[in-house]
Amino acid sequence: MTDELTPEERRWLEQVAEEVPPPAELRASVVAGLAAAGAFKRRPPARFHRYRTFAAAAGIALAFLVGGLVGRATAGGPNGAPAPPAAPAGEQFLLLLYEDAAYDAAGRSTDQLVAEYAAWAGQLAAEGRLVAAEKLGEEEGRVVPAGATPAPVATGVLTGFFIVRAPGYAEAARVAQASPHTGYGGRVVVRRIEGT
Amino acid sequence: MSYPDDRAAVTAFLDHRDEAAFDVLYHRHTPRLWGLALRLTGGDEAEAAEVVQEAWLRAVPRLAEFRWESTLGTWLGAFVVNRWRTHRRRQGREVAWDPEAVASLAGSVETPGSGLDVRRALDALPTGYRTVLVLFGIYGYSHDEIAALLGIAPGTSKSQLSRARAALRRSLA
Repeated sequence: MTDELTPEERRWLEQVAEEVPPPAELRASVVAGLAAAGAFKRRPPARFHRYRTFAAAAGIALAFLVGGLVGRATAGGPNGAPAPPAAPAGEQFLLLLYEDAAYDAAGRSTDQLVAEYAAWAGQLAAEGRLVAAEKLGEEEGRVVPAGATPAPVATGVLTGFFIVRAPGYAEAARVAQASPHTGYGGRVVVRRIEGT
Repeated sequence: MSYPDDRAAVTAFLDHRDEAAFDVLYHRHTPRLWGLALRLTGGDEAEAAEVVQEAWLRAVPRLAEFRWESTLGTWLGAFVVNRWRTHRRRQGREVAWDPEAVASLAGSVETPGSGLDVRRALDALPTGYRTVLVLFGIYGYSHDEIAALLGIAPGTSKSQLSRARAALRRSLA
């Protein structure tokens, strides 16, 4: 049989090749991911100039996005989506990701950082550990009562958080230690969430 | 904003990094990428959406590296194929390129010839067969390109195509 397709085969495949419109929500997901990765020109906030961590923050944001996607994909659904992975026993822990002058990812491209954080988030989701993750806004936020001095648990900029499930502090700390964030000198504060 | 061709749209995007220029590229290429992902995943829309999204997220940062030695569509399609392969690896479902693989089609095709039936028959092909047939027969990749994309020998691509055609013909006969 030669590689040349017969007219009948071509007709079959042309029928299949008729383009089916992609789902409308796909564009929004793609654009959000690209925006988070810094693909579009935006004016970076001053604090990110200071710490040169805009790329890392974008990576974190995309990691959250990918983690969320994986989480949804493994959450089971009406259309035969795969069953969720068995969640590890234990409580929920809050992982607060901080960046300060010690954070140094200067030798890594945005793409590399995005891939690393996304892989980590995806792995957590695939293991059933990831409960939630969000990138925090870049503004100062608020402290109450008004005028009170913020009392951060770590210095630097709080750029995001993860909530993971783990049997105890030791395992939660191990998860945090395995993050790309600590590899670049970022700090992760781990706090247990009561009643979970 | 309209651009006469892909090169103009890519240049505009790289120069200005604005969402409007990207939108032109997105709307021009995503229907084809979506179709490719659907066929590679055997019609799994959820997985296809993840594959296409990840393909764009990885392709855009590398647009400046694109040398226009192929069409932009072919280049973007390679990202879809790579992301799909990565998904399968993560799921422990790497494609077996076993030349002895049996083309056992799931279900029968009652009324051969309609697009829906061809699609069902294609989706039911063993993954290796389907992958090569889709890339070669629908998206126009050469055996050398398929071999490079899938990490197989060109001869394997040819043999998979031959078996895929035979299996498809049996299914639609």
